[in-house]
Amino acid sequence: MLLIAYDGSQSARAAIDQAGTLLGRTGTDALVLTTWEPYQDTLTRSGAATLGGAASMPTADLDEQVSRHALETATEGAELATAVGLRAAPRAEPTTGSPATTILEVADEIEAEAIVLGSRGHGRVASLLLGSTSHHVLHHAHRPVIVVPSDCVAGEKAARAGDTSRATPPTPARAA
Amino acid sequence: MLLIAYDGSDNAKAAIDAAAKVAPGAVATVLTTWEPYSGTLARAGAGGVSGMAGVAFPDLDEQARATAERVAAEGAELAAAAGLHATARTAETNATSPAPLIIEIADELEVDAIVVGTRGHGRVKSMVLGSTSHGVLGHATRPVLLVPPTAG
Repeated sequence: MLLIAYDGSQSARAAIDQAGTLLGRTGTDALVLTTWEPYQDTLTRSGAATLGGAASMPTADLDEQVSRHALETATEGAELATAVGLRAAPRAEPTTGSPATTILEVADEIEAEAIVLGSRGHGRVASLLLGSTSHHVLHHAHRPVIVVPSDCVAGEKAARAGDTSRATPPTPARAA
Repeated sequence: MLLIAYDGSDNAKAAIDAAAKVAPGAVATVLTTWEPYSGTLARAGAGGVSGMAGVAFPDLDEQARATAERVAAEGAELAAAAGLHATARTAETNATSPAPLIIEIADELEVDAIVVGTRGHGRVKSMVLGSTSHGVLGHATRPVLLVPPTAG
């Protein structure tokens, strides 16, 4: 079982796409996870909870909306994953600290064989600079993590498709 | 296809096992890189020592190459035992880190993912990226499967 962290971003879509290329043939099971933050936590984090009255604001309705939206996002991700050959199910989960903590908790719960993460590719510099969630997961996971570059992969595909401005000539490897 | 960076360490062995679990039956190239002795010397500063510059070490290099071939073959055997369709490959690097060469070969083979082991973090056993895994992650334009030692 794979755990795919999915927030609906282009980076996360690329992660699903690549997971499909890698594992779609084998029909691997995948849980597509979208995390959401309870509004009370957002208020606390932003300092607004210390303002008079904010602490007692009714947040249940907002949380209901946010959690429903998260499940819609996860469902969209699961559909993408199914389209690339994975046997995917969606799940939305409220964060208990940060998205990374929740991702790691769910990975442990389902005993994921690997966690799949998108990485924000960094413009023309074709390198994998990690977002904070990917960075945290990577450094705290005790299971395999697949980091998928997004813009970089897209850029490379564009290069192959004819935009030679990004392409570099292959250097022969000194293979024995 | 997977490209598995393999140096014979326990971390690299764990990486092979994890790759086989994540992508059962995948085609895999098990890559071991080696550095010519003159490169090691130059990096250590000894290349500047009088008389050492430009000296070739064919015997030592041949040994390093043979060792790399043995390590790569061992990795391919482990990978095959774990269910991957594995072939061994060695490559000579002149750089401080094998990471650029790993990425170059990954591009040449157009692999779906690069697999690298990472070091454990003491009792916590979470990931600490070594220079190779860090270099690969920092420059790869392909998915990278990072494997902590406990994950094997």
